[in-house]
Amino acid sequence: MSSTIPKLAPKGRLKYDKVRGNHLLLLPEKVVVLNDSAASILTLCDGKDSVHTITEKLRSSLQLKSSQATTNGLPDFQKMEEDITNFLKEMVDQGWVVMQYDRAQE
Amino acid sequence: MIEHKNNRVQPPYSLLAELTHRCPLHCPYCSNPLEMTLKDHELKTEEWCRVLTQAADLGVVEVHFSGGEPLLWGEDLEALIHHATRLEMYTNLITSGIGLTTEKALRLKDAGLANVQVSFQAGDAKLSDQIGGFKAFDQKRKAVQAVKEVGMHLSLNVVLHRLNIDSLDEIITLAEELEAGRLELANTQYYNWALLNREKLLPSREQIEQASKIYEEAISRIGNKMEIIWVIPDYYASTPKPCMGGWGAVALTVAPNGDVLPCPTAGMIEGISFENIQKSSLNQIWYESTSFNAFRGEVWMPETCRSCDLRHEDGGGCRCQAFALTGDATATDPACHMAPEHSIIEKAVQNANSSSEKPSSPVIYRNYLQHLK
Ligand code: SF4
Ligand code: SF4
Repeated sequence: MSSTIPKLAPKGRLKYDKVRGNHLLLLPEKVVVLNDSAASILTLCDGKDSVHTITEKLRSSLQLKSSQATTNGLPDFQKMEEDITNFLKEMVDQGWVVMQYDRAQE
Repeated sequence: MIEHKNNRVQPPYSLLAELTHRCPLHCPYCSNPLEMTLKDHELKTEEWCRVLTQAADLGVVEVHFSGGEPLLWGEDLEALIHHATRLEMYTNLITSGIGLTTEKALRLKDAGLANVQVSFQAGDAKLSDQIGGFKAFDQKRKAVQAVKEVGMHLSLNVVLHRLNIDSLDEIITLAEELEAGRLELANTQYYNWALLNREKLLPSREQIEQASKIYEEAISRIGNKMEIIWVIPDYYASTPKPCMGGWGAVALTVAPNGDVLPCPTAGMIEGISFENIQKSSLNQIWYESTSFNAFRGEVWMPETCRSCDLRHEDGGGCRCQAFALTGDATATDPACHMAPEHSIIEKAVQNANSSSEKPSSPVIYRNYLQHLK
C-alpha cells in the first residue's frame, strides 16, 4: 500500500469554501464537508505521489507548523502512514479516490 | 461577509439553472410548467454570468445546467461553464443528449464541465422513443459515447412510471453497458405534466414491489461499480419525502426567464409571487424575499405537522404537492397518512391497483408550442 499512488477520482473536485469556512469535496449530486486533515491528504492525491511520499509531505508540513517544537510532538511515521492508508481505503470504497500501482517503486 | 438577517437561514449549496424550456422531447411527466417561457424572454449569457457570480458569493458550490434541453438554449453555454468553473463551482449538464456530439462534449469539458447527466426514457429504443415522443434513443447512445470518449463522468437518469417500470432490468443493464458511474432512478413526481397524466403513469403496488426486488438485486450484484439511486415513491410510502432538504434550505432554481424559485416546480403555487433576478439580487431573494421565507421554519405548518415529531425529518412534505392536490400550499402533504386529505392519494392508488379497465384517454405529451407564457 505504501507505494501505491492515490488520485482523486476524476468526478471529484476539491474546494475551499470561503462562505462557510470549510474544505469541501464536490461530487455529482453530493457535497462532502471535509475536516482539515482529510482535506490536506486529498489535496496531495494528485496521481504523482505515493502514500509514502504523501505521509512524508504531511509530516514535514506538521513540523513546519509546530516550528519550535521538537519532533517529539509529532506522531510516529508508521502510525501516521497507517492512518492515512486507512482513510484512503475508505475514500476508495466510496469511489472518491482511485489507486494506481507504481511499478517504478517495486 | 454576508449579513444574515435571519440567523437560522443557511446559504444554499446548489443552483439549478434552467436555461430554456425548449426541448426536442415531449415526455408526459416533464416537470416544466404547463406555461413555458417564450424564447424571447430567456436570459442571455451576460445575465446568467451575473447570476452565477451572485450564486458563488452566496455560497453555491454546485451548478446544474438544465432545461428543457440546455443545448437548445442558443446562447453561450461554454462561457457559463467556464465562468462557473472559474468561480470554483462544480458543473453538471442535465441533458436529453440531443445535440451532444463528441466535438461539443470536448469543448464543454475544456470549459470545465465535470459531470454529464443524460436522460433515457426506458432501456430499449422502442419504448424510450415512444415515451419521449421523439426518435431520440440512438442519439442518446451517441451522446453517451461522446461523454465517455472525452473522459467526463457520466450519470444516467431515468424517470420511472407505469409504462417503463416493468423493464427496470433492461434499464439497469443499459446503464451498465454504457458504463455510467451513476444511475438515478427518479420516481415520477405528480405535478404539472405528470399530474395531467397521473392515471397513465402511476404504477401499481405490484409493479413497485417487483421493481424493488430488481433494484435490491442490482445493488448487491453491482456494488460500488455503479451508484444506483432509487426510493419508494411517496404515493406508496406512509410519510412524505422531505422536499430537497426543505423549502429555501439548500438549493434554488433560476427559471429561463430569471424567476428565482425554491424548487423547479414551485412556480405553479398560486398566491406566491416569485422575484426575478433582473430586479433583485440572489442574496436578497434568498434571505429576504417573502417567497423564500414563506415555508421556512415551522410557523407556517398546519397543526397536524406542528404536533408531529417527524416534522424535523420531512418538514411537512412537499409544498408543491400540497398545493397541486389540495389547492392550499400550507396543507400537510397528502402523501402523509396523517394528512387530513390523504384520501386523495388513497383514491389515486386504489385506481392504479384496480383491475377494472382504465378509461382510454390518450397520454398528454408535453408540448412547448401550445403552452407559451
Ligand atoms: S422531461 Fe423530457 S420533455 Fe421535459 S425537459 Fe426533460 S427531456 Fe425534455
Ligand atoms: S404529519 Fe406532517 S410532519 Fe408528521 S409525518 Fe406527516 S407530513 Fe411529516
